[in-house]
Amino acid sequence: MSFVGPTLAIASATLGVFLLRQAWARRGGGRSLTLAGWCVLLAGAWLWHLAGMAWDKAIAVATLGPSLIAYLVLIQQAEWRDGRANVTRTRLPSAPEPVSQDTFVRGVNRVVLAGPVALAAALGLTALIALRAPWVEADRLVTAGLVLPIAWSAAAIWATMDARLVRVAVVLIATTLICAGGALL
Amino acid sequence: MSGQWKIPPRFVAAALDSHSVIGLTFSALIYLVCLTGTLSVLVDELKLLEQPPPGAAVASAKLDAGALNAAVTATMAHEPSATAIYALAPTTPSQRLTLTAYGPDGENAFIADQHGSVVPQHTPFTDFVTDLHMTLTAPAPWGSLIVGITGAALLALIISGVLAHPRIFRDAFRLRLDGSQRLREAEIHNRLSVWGLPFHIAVTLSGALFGLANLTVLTVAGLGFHGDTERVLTPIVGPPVAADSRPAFLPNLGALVSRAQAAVPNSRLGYVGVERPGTRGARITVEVGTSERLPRGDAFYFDAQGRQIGRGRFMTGPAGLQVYSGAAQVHFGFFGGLPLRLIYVLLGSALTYVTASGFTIWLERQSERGRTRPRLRSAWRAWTRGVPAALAVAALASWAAVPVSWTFWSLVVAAQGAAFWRGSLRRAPAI
Repeated sequence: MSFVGPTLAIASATLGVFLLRQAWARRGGGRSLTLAGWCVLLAGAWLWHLAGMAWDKAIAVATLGPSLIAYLVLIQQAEWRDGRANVTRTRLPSAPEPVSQDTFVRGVNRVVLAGPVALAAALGLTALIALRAPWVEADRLVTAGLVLPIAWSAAAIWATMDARLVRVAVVLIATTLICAGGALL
Repeated sequence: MSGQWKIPPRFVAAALDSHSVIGLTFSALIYLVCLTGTLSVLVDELKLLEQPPPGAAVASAKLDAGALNAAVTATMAHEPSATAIYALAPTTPSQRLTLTAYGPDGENAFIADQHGSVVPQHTPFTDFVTDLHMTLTAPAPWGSLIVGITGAALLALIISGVLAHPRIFRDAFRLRLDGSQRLREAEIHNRLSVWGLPFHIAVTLSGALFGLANLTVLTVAGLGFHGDTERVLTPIVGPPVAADSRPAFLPNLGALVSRAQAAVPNSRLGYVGVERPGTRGARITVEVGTSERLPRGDAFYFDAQGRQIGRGRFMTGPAGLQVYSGAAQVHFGFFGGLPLRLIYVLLGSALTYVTASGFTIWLERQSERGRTRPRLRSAWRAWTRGVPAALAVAALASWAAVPVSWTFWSLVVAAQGAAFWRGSLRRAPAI
């Protein structure tokens, strides 16, 4: 592999990060610059591909570069001004007050919903995909394996966000029953 | 701005609540898994440090003809009751031909030179770190299950973190370190998170896939295959060979590797696995791959007579198999040599810091609201500083032949005990 392809790919990642920085520094958001930034970052994968990598590896490598370059940019432009007098709470607002004022029993219910009940719903969906999706067996199994953590995470987030626990419980239990039933049919 | 879609503040506050609840519950485990995962990326280099040549075999990328047979036979002599032996080929200058024998007395590893002579692998610290990352040193299957649950929790934190910070992308290039500790920590936490997002999602999702695999397989087997887990795994582990305990010689493994390589142009050997070695019911797996691709390679299955009985197309077959094989590469960072793994160490360290700072931010917020929580603050500090320190001492202990696991857990428990005591002392004046 020559150095030209990787050098261009790294340059592309740098340019992409630079364009995003310029875009996000603008008050209106700089939509065309933002779009250009993302396009240049995507072009990085294409350049890694031209450098001799297959698309799968090129994409995996291309996603790492912008992270590193952005970290370097952040270090370079970090504001280290001394003195706590400069701190303005308006600039970085204090975190919002918590919305949930759960009692102990409600807290336990929420934990049960986010844990085992959400897991049961995610497992039901996993089994449904693994056994009933219209793909070859390997695709079904691996997709199901990937869906499990995503579905569980999403359900757990919902269970810890929603004020109406009954609604969460009904939907999650219904999902479990429908998916497991579909998998068994 | 008027035409811009805005996330309702109540939704943001609820997402932050969710982020806090999940974070508080799992931070300690996530921190441990992220820290040891970051160290595990350098597993080859750590092993070379712990057992350098010439005490062990020299790292080599070129094996002699017949070296594989010699190495597997020598391993069988060391471990006569082994039910499976896997020979992992060196694919980088830091790797050595490593053989792992699985049997009734657990797992034993050996290092081979290019001629196939083996010596026992003695890398207690590296083994401990990788074990801590994959199982928390807890017995199977609970350890890996807890790690899988931790991975799912981290994924939930990543998603809820993005939901809880509507300006996270717009502020992606601002880093103001001139405020209170909470504001400083929040700035670093948010910036490291947003720019590490692709890496964080990739390693977390792939880790959770492997950690929760047992749960997936058990569920699918229970609902679809009358509990037959082997049937569920057939697309991944390949065709079975009926057990036959009558003795048999190993086929020429080098020849099997050549046949596999002939089917995949420009390929190199990944590993050779021999199940039920020395019997007529042996099954041999040869994995070969190319450096241009992300998946490790295609697996070729042979019986004891050297007849090909199947091919696992992890590189050239269904998308699911390619994703599965690629996920392992993405998780461990084994697809681009040392420079790429050093990037992994940097991004992994960032994720570890994000975990530590998340809890600290919550403590600072509590403090601003008049709830100082000295014991919890002390315990968290003891965890985030004590675990790396205990790992460092455990590394030194392994040099002095002191048990690594015992050293690590003793120090961690001692640090927590001291933190509890210190936290109680700080609390006393207020009472």
